[in-house]
Amino acid sequence: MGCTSHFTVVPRRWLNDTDKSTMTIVNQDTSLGILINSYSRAGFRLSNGMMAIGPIAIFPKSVLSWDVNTAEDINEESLSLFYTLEPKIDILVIGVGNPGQQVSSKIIQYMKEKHISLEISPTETACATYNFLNAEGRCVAGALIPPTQYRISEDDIASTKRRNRDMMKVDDFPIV
Amino acid sequence: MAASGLHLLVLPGKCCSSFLPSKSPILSSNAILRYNTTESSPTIKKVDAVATSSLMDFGLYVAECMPKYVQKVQIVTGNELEVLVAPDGIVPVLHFLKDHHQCQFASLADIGAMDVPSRENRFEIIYNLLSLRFNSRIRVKSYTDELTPVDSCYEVFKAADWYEREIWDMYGVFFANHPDLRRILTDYGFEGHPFRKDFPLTGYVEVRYDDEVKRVVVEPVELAQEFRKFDLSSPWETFPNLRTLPAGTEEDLKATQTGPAKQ
Repeated sequence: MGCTSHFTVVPRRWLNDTDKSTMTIVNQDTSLGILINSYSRAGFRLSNGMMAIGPIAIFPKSVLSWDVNTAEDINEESLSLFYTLEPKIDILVIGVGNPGQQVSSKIIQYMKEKHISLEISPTETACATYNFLNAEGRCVAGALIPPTQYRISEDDIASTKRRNRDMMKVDDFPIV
Repeated sequence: MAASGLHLLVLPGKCCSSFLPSKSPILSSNAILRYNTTESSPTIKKVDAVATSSLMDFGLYVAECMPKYVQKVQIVTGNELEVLVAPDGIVPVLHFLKDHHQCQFASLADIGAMDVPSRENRFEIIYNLLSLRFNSRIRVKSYTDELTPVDSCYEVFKAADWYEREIWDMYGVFFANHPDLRRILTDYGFEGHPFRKDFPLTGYVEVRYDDEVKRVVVEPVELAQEFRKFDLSSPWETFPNLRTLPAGTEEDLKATQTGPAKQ
């Protein structure tokens, strides 16, 4: 699983007794709306504890399942939700899954006519982009397709094991 | 170097200079004179002919080693070597310059681009390399147009990552096989490529905070006054000492495709 939490360090003044710097994890701040904690082949884990399976359409206050197969299958109908919303969103972050996938240029043109800015990128980076655009307070929506290929770090394997409560088990082939 | 009326004597290598009265002419052969000098103006860079010719020899060597891709070798402004290559040959030539024992240009200093709309291949991609072993620099230039992708040199120089992202963002040149090609300097919903010559200085959109909707909104740009173009040329001559210097010319050293050029 890839992890997309963000850390903000807030140093306190040294005149204080505590003389400590504080750190807040953006994903744990519930006032910012729903953020994406991690992603995998199956779906996404969100900051409110939910797990969403499959492609999702994510908004600051809600998340919906999205009926789309791959990035090429995105058509006007699948994006119709985003431009009919009120208040109008500033940016739509589209996560196309794996890095090579393309969104058809007719759709890009179509969304330009509807005055919705698009930010198309692989899902790994799209999740992080959605997170910090939301944390900044901009009106942003995310349309994310789970990737099938992504980089896994040791930390990801460890946190998955911790979640599945089998940290003590030694796995020859760790399944993520 | 002879002089009279010497006020200050500066010897290189020593941090302090002795302040002599004007009548004592103690000079060392490598003194730097400040006043009453018969030397030509010190503000013009001297061209070292030996260094230039050895640089040219090296450029010809590179052209001999990579004859398929190197189209031209030139020396600009006296001491900068440029190798002009075909776009297919960018990665092979960079690989050669980085790994070959006689070159060892292991440091990628910069990748830039230039937009010349009048040309068919309007964008010029410019790679600046530095060799720490031999203390020398080289420039590799190539070209492309708006639609043709260029091979990314990320596998040769990891530093090319963000430079190529910048060129994609600012010019719209697509780099194939780049690990993560996305915008780096412009805002998230930004459309257009700002460094192109046909992109206006003021841009197309402006942002403002709208109190009614309590958000930052994006609107077409409206200038409060007409755009003013200042003519900054002065009626007075600014460099009288340089009156006799010739304008930049391109000189061919040999009948081959190489030659020094002042641009």
